[in-house]
Amino acid sequence: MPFTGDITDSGFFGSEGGDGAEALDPAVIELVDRLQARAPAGREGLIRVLLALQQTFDRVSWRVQELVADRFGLSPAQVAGVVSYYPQLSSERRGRLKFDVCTGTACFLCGGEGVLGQVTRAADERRPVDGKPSLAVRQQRCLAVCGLGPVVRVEDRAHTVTEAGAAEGLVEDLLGPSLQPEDEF
Amino acid sequence: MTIATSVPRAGVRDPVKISICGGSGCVALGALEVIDALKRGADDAGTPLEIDSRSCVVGCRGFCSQGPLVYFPGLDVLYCRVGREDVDEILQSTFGQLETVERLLFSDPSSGRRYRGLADNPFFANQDRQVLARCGVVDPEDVDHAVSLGAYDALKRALTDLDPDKIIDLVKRSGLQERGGAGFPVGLKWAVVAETPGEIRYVVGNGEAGDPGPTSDRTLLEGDPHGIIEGMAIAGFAVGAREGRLFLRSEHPLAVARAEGAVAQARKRGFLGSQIFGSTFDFSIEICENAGASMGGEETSLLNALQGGRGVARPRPPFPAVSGLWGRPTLINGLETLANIPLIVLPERLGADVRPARTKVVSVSGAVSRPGVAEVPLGTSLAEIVVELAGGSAGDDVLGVHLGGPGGVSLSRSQLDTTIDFGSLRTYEANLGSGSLVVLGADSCPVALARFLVAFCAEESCGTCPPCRIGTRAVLTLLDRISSGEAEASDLHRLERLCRHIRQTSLCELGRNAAGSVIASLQNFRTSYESHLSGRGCTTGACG
Repeated sequence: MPFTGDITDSGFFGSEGGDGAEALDPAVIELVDRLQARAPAGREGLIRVLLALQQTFDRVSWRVQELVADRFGLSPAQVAGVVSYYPQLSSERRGRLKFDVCTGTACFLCGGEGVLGQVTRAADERRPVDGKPSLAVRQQRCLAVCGLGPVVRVEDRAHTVTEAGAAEGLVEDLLGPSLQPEDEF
Repeated sequence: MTIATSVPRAGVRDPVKISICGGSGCVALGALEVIDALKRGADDAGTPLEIDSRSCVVGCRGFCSQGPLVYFPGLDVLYCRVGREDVDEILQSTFGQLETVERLLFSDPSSGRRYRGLADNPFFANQDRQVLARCGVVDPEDVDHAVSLGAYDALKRALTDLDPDKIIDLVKRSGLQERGGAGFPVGLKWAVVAETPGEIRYVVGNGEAGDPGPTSDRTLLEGDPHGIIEGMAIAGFAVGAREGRLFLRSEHPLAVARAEGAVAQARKRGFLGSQIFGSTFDFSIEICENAGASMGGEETSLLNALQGGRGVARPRPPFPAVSGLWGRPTLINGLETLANIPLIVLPERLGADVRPARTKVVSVSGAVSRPGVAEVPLGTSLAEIVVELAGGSAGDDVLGVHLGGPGGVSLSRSQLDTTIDFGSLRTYEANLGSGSLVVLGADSCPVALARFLVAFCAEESCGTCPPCRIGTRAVLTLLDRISSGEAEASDLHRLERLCRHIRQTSLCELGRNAAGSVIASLQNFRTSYESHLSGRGCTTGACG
């Protein structure tokens, strides 16, 4: 269950230029401790904690990785090794607005690969200058509505995008004036 | 959602029951909004609805492309692609006057014919639903409902009437083979785990099919999670394990949530925990989510992921049955395999003269008019599945079938008489894998499909062994050359030779099966590959 309180994982170093000396928000520390207490004991709980943090902050920043490493008795490199290995974990923000493109076999046969390219291009064109993405375009192995392909899922709703330009249209709808990236970040 | 109207009407004694599919597909297509609209519409019309089940959903019926599905069990009427705007008409016609809303019945895209319910719909009528029997019937979020439909009866029998040796013997005699992968005999695997010395043993339910296509695991988890939990607990009793891990895809959050809820409810009801059914047997299950790298569901990479590490393959031997999770003997079975176990222990549930472990859950997609997840008897031919169940064709408008996901094989149209069973498929060096079956239309390109599947495997490769790490990339490069029309005849020989080498030398099944898939594609669609050579390129346009 993602944490929904008003906390941030700011104060990290690395990708956003900090020097690493900043302290983490105490609420983040409390959250990590709470997640660890709920997860399976020992190192078996590591990936579950990381997934929950990814869901909460849209990334697992280097600083948070250090904290997690400390709590699990691991080195930061060991945690970084896990974060960098799994596609659903990332030390960089991916965009809070999720846009899933089905890349399952059935959707591929209906043109899903082209849809992925269209959506990625459309999202890139709207990326703000500070490099923070507004839209997370995610490849999903199957969205479970085979037969309607090619399919995308936007905020838990599935859409068929057989018409040329339909996928770009959905991106356009999402990133209209009421949802500017600066409002999100 | 099971709803019963309390309004008496002439000639109708029983309330009209309705169930709404709450699987991932139907939810993504708006099922929850339909449920809300139905409740509100009923209130507005002054027709209070009594919800007679704790939560508001039934699990996935497998007919996902037609969702949201609304079904009236008493009338055998199935409405497809129902939207909020249809709710008033449903309330007035079907609830109010028991009349069918014709336009909401399933209309077969190929024939235009409409089907009223499940009994006359070939997608359902051609199935033999054993492990899927409760999917679409039971409320997956209500353990009491599951118990009323027979859940945990087999566990009770196992713990009170049988001993571990007898259960392993039952599984051996049933002939159950692992439902994913190469079909290893399940009873034999159980016996190895049980006989390996050690105080601690584990049972792992492998819910990572490693297939970029529809999966039976998701359907089972969303539809009947208690069947899997019961199978795991029986397995734990049989092999002497007190702890289980259910390894699931985090990309399927609804399935994970249902599994978590079901485990919590089972624990509360005493079906998990200490002294289950008054016996000395203790068993617990932890849900573990995978963060995306599946390695094709490969067992040893799964173990590393469970231990909180990178999901990379381990050399074998030792096999997980001897040295698995944390070096302990570990039984790893797929979810469909585990869901078969209660039926083996308590075959009476299937009725007289019905033998358990004789079916396979398949997910059919591609060039068919009735795609979905279905359960068919072992021995059913691919043609029967494609034509009779899924409404496809076996004629010129079908190129063939790809079976078994990224490590599976593409079979040509002339091979559609192949039957779904482990022996027949071995003839083509194929395995059932995840049970996915993708029908290739005449405009499909086998080269493009092979390239797509190898790209998936190359991306999934853990990088431990060079044949897989480097080899799959090299295969991809060759397939790119073929796709773009730059290849020559000698490239086909190089491709085949390279794939045979990868198949012989890869550390695990991911590399072996990826290479085997290309070899089969080359053998069965040689003409198509040759037509791409020397500047001719792809005639279908699929290679881009």
